Amino acid sequence: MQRKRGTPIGQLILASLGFVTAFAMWFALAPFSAGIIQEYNLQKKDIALIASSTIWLAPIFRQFIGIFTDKLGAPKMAGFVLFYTGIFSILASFSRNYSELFITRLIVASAGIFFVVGIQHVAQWFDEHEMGLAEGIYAGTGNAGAGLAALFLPRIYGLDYRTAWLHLGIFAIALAIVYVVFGVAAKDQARAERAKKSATLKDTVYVWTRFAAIALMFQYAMTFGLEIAMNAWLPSYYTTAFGDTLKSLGYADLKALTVAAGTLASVQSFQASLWRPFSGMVSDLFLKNKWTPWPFLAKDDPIAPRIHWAFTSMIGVTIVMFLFTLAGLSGNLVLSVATLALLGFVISWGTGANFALTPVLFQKCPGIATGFIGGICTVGGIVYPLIYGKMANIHMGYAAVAAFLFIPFMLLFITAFRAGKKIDVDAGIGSCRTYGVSQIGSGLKEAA
Amino acid sequence: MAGGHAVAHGPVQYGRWYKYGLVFITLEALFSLAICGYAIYMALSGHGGIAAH
Repeated sequence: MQRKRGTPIGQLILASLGFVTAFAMWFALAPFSAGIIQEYNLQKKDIALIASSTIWLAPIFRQFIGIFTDKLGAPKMAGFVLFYTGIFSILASFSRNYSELFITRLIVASAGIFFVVGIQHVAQWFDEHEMGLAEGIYAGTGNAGAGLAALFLPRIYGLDYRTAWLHLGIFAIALAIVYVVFGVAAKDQARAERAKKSATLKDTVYVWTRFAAIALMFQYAMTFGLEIAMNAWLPSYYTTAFGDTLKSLGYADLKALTVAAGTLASVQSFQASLWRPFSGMVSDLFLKNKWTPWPFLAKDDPIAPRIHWAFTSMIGVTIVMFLFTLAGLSGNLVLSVATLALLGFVISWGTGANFALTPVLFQKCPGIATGFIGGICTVGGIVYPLIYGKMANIHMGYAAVAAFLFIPFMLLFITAFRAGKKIDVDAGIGSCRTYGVSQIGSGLKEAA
Repeated sequence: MAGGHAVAHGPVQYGRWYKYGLVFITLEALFSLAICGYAIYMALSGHGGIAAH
């Protein structure tokens, strides 16, 4: 590989910019949902379908993008992802009917796989002791692309979603070229070569079947999965559930309603994204002070405090989901928005906690683990809006998801990291011998 | 594999960028609070959107 010059901060900025763009493209449909509903004469279930469709390809694509990124290097994969999603964003802007819109947007939505590419890229440039803040800045800033799309696109383009998608597509293609030219795969040749050699399908399948990875995937599904579900769902929720309130406030025409609903919805995205790096710091604080408040979780392992913080986030999210239903049922828009901000805040606890933990637990295979945990979790982004859309009362979906999905997820997490049992990341379906790979858990104590 | 770096032992030296990173995430947090305040202002007053009133 020919070496090019690069600095860690320069590569971090490049990765973050790419992620912001990818997320803005990914979520550039939801802010225009009111206009699209009117143009194509859609029903409530159609809104839920198109909202969830933006996430369909992420779980599949994210599984494999980590391996390809290790093999080919992040700049090439980042350029590829930005280029093809940019092309389809442009094609979506010229769609002539609902089918064309649906299919092109489905492909644009795969831009979410950029997350894995960027995590790998940043990991290749920073050392362990700086990784928390570096990944926090990358992931937190990048995720804010969804909120920026919700906040600014309707203000800039009004109801003209076609021009917005066209401009985003052109920008993404330009950035793809910049990424390939200025991006450097790793800090040094050794790191680049190690990544290239060690990503195999056997290792991938082994990680997929570890109980710790599965538990962390569900933890991420009820935090990041929820975040992207809400990004896609909330603009139409506020338009539908609080439409009359918003009209009475003066947001009378469709354009004003779209802007108002988009702004309110962006509250969750911004809180969830921009507080994320702080959660990583809180995880460090748990570790430093050896805080292990939950008696039913493992306490003795050096990494245990980080697990306790992750579980705390799960409790926070579940409680606030019930509160969000109550706020909606009250019919008080201000209470709903304030509770939504709180929901975004507790979601950031969970997303920050997860990636303060995953690279340490899976230090021998963080790329593959990121692909698995960050990939399958996005199924939540598909499932939750479908559940919300099927409820007779539009406010009840949040409580239903918390009661019937999140509480079981927490029980599974407790089982994987239960008290009195050593934390063993190699525990899972079949042993390392079954898969013909080496153990991934050694060195955990040193890492913690 | 990607990012599987050795863990530093003993006192660690952060890069010069680290303190700027902390300032940056503080600004991000303040921005997110400003967005939250702005949204609540919109929900209370009906002002702040497009063509409201």
